[in-house]
Amino acid sequence: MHYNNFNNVLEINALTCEKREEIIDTFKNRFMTYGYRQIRTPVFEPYDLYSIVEGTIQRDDMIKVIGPTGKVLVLRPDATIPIARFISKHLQSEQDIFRYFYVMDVFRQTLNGTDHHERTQAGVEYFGNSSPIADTEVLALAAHLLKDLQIDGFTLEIGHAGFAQHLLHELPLNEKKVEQLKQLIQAKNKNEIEVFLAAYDMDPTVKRLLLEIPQLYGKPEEVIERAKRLSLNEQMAQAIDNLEMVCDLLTSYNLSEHLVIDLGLINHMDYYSDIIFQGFIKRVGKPVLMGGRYDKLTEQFDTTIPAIGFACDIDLIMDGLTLANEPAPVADLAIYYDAKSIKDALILANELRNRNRRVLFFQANETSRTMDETLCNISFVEGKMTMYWNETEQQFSTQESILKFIEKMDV
Amino acid sequence: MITLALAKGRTAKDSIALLREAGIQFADFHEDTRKLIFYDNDRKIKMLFVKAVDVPTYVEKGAADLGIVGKDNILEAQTDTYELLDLQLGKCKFVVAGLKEQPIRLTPNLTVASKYPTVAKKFFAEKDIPVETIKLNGSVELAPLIGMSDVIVDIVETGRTIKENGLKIIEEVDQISTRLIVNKASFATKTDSIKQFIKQLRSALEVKQ
Repeated sequence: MHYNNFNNVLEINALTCEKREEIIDTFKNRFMTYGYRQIRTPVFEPYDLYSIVEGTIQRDDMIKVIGPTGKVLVLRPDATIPIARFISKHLQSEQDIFRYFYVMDVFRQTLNGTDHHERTQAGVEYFGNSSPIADTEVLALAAHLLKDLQIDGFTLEIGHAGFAQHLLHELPLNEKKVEQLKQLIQAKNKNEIEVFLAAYDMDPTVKRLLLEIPQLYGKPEEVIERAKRLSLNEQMAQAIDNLEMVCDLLTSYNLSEHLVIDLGLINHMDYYSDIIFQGFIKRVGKPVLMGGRYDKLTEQFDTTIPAIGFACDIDLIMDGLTLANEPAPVADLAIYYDAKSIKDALILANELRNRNRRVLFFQANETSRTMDETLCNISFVEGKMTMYWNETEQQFSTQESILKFIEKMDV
Repeated sequence: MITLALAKGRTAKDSIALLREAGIQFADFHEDTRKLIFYDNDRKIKMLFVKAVDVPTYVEKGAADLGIVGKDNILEAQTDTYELLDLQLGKCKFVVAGLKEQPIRLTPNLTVASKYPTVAKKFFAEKDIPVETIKLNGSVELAPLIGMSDVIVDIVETGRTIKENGLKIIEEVDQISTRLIVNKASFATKTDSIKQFIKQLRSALEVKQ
């Protein structure tokens, strides 16, 4: 967040809250325009729920507490897993389609103490449809959110978890070495991939492919064309076909300047099975949005229901936005009262608030406050009702007449 | 405009020379400068002149889009960035060195003194050797001489310092040279200018070879 005043902590806190809520409201509206409904899961959940799910959250990353019965609980470390579990438990038929969104906090331990333990995520999960149409819908929705932020630049990087994964697992390497190679691919470190591969006796076409993967980055049509010319195995070719279909459908959404394909993209969450993506905005050094298709996750909860979703990190988004220089007015009207007229003043304030006006309430004279001339000020002093508004002064005899005037002038 | 974090210290001069060959010139830069921010003559690149150990941090946080820094600092920082070029400068290696060719174990844990405790820990963890690391900020060779540690993990260029202090290289850990690292978000949002920068640098490297 780019603060313009380091000292005004209270003001900044309030401004930050307002901005946050504004973003969340915008996102919620956007989710609803795609027909998604809000869902919530508990903050405290059994540790076992996460420790038995493979390829998800590092056990050490979870924040644990002991419940009154001695059971170990964790603070919700991820949103997708509990929602997928919830759906699996209450599913009537595997053919059902569900579209849900959430705005929830997730909690993780982080290794360096400087990071926050708490993050607000807004995201969607789309269950029951494994077609490219569903992929397209979710990708378009992700892009739409970033567009709604009205910032000058954002990029959505699309990859495919199946692309490098299958190739890596066919290599004659142990798990540690595969992990090392994965990291080199993620860092697009061509030199070291070359050095790494030189130590192994491997099919030269596979080696060439591994060296090419990190370079497969750029405009969708171009990268897909380049990838097709490589000697791909069957799963890789399928992954490319899938991406091609999705990118073709995405052209209807007029997003081409924001889309990039990165076939070297590997998500650290192993539950992703097919398309994966991440969103970047200017001035933020990390992806603000991450997601993908995870058709295999529900198998861990004894069902098979295809799913795709993403989560957007509201705190990171805030880092990329600038707070307004001038705080927006917090009220529409201010009422000043003296000891005699306090009850009448309260009745008017209540009546105005019922009519959705934002009303501030002050004691006349005693406060050092001078009237804020941008507001409509009403004073109840010595039995007189006076309104100071738009540089004019007006007397009123009854509350009804004030209310009528306020309605009429749309104060 | 893209921001480049350049490591101060032993490779700074060579890095600047390489950038010049790539057509990127910083007119007001000289070795004894106290300035921290420079602009290239075309005002397309803003350069931050920072301590080498901090370069990976600047890049990972996105405060700089690109970084030119030694692999030693990249390994120690363990940051999540792209590493796109080997600039072939400041070549040296990470080694384990000690008083004799085999470390003597008088303590239950092997003690390792290093400026690079993360690298040292990782190296021994892969070999399943439990170690205690001692972080030092310089003159690491002293530690085994006075019995503070059994071995050291350090970078050596010629091996002269090690030899002059009567230490012996026990094992080589990794090859080091200066690399170009890139913030992943910057690569996504400023692709064209970053690719252009890399292209220029790569052709300068090819001319040198």
